[in-house]
Amino acid sequence: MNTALAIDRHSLVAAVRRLPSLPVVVLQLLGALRDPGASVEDLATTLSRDQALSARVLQLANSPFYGVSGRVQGVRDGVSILGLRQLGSLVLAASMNRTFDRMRGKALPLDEFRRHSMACAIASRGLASSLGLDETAAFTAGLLHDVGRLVLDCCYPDEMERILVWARQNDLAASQSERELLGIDHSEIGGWVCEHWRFPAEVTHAIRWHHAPPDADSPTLADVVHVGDALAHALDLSGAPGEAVPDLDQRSWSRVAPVSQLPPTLLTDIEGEFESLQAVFQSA
Amino acid sequence: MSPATDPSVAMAAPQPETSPGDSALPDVVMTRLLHLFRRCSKAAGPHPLLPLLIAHRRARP
Repeated sequence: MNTALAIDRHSLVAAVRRLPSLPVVVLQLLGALRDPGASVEDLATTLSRDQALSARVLQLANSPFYGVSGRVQGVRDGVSILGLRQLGSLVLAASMNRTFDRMRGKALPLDEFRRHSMACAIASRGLASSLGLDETAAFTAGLLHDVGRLVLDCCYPDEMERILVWARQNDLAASQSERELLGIDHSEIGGWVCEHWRFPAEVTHAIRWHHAPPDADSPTLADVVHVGDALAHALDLSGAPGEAVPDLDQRSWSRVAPVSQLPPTLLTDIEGEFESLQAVFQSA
Repeated sequence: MSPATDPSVAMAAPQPETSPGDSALPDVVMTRLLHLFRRCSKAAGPHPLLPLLIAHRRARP
């Protein structure tokens, strides 16, 4: 049976180019969060340029989770309540959730997608922290590592349905099902999306190569997202019934955990941070 | 029969190494873990995350 789908690379590239731009403030925030010299004031000023995002920060800071419900009036106070690290996670996740909503298709279960993306972001940041890599870049790359799947679901919903059915019937990973039916997988499409959205080169590279990190002399962001993705699947945080852990690239794994000595609390920390972020979003 | 429904796949999943003092995980937890790791290649040896996950689940209150 010929199962190949009739989408060519040209059409996929054109579909990515038609995607809406990312709000400018997201890239500015990403830059500010990666700048060690950035202050709370700098972030509050940047945030204030986007009304919807400012309102979301206030809503999150006023959530019962932080115990100050209804008393946070300004963005500056909201930034102080949330703290820089949590602010980065929440703002990036909130703005990406907005973008994910706009790209909603019909085949991909969006809630599971969001949960897995968030879990991968947190796991990648935890690994980056233990390796001395850029935590904000790792969180962003983890959050967006599967964005290519959203593009397929949004632009080619019928084809995505067939990809998901094929994966289910044959117990395949999404990427393998995509390669078998399309001859390309979501990581390559995700790389195009990041270029379209003008993400930093290392974030784009990590998303493009998260299933097959290129060899390197020292750990890279692609290694971190590759292992973070597997950890997120292994911790079973997406709630997907067909959840499965992918194989790890041995060389990538040895760069991330050279003597298999990851921080002993890494998995507990990932679960704890995941539950905290979920709690904030659910209570806001 | 697809691998998803083939019981031999779960049986063939990498087996965790245990030491004599280790407490056993409840069957339901172990079954879920082996199911999660069902696609991992046997050729590459035990998946490096499986021992971590087992230790993590054991440490849970």
